[in-house]
Amino acid sequence: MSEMKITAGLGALENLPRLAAAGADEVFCGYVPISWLEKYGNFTPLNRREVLLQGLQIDSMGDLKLLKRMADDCGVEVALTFNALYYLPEQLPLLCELFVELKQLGLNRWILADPALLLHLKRRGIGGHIQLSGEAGCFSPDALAFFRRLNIARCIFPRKLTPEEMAACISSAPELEYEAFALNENCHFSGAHCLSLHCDELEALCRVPYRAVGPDCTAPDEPACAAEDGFGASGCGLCALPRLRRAGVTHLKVVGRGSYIDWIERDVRMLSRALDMGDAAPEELRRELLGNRCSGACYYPAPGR
Amino acid sequence: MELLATRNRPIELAVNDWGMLERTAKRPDCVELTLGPLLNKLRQDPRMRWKPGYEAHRSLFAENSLNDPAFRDYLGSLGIHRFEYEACGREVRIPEGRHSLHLPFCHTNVSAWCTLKARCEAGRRGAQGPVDGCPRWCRENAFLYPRELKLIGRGNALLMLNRSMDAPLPPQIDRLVFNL
Repeated sequence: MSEMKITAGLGALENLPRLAAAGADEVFCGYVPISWLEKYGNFTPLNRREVLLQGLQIDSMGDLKLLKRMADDCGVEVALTFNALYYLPEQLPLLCELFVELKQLGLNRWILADPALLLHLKRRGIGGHIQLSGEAGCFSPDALAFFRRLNIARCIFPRKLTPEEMAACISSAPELEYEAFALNENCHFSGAHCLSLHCDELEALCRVPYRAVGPDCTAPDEPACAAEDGFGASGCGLCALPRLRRAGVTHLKVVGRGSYIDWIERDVRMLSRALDMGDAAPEELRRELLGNRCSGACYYPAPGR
Repeated sequence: MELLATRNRPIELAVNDWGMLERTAKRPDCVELTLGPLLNKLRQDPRMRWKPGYEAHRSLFAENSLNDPAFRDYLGSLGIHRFEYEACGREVRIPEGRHSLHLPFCHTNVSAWCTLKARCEAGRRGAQGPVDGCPRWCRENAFLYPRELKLIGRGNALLMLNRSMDAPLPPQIDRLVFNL
């Protein structure tokens, strides 16, 4: 069984060498050209980081060329995210033209979520290493069969799927690559069904304060925003690495395109060390890597919990 | 599907998962498919009107993939011709054909695992896990939001209430579904 690889979110070009040195085998980032912003702003974002002010997208062809050269020098793969849940009909041919340009730069790994976009690429014969985003909502072997007809090379499992459910998908199509979330941003809701705004002006709806009411909601209300600065504070799958490995997952995602580079570098290093520990028991992983400080924000709760 | 075939009467199945579409590929002739609201994705957020530039750019929120003829043809080849929309507080360009409109609630967020179960059992909405048996927490518990949002959390979803229609019903809507 080959070892799982690490793919990490990249928010700025200059951070790529640090992520590669920390152990990342791949990085993923967003490309939003100025021409798109001029026409559509962030009203119809190109990817799920629907922000303008955080500066975490690549925004020029020149920087894309530089990215490709840096990635080749560092020995990592690069995937570009175009994982909006849907695009306007007029945008689909524009995107197809863009992908042709990206292929010419050697950037042919794309993370996509819109079935209409997948269909257009297939019909136009624009091939690439298409990675089905978790935002597409591939929850089952049947869903995987639907998306396989749209020429995907990798399936990124959505959040809220157990390693055992992933195994069922993987066994139905073992020739594909499979990616699972490993660290950070374990959203309360499923990305495929999150229709709310996540822009500069308005926080995601899942972070709007709420009050739980009813006879069974006796615990005090928690803050809507989880702490994000501790390791794994917003989502951790370290203890589940053996289960993910057994399931046949090939890639592990460290989320954090908008995160501080120090944090995501730390996360990649820790995940790399965890992988080096093989099939260590969760208790050993927590003791050796976390000093028994567990965030409790489990991506993959142990069976029976 | 075998059970449905024995009914020998027209049955409509709303598909809310791409896997279900695959699962129903071999279905009896009496079963017709519709594209359920969870696969008909449109930006839905009670705060839309507060986003700077929203009024000037409303047209950018009026369409989705279903307005693309090629994608509609593809869905048609899979047996889906009717789409289920949710009233979301603004005008949406409905493609040609005959489609349904759900109101007055629309989904803004849905979790594959239950947020309310996590809150009731573990004390935290984020402490979710696979659901095995449900004591129906949502009968007596809910997540409440500020009044101006007209938003409520029930079970595994956040639901937005639309009390009024922003535009007359287009002729493509031939069915209203009251999702109270």
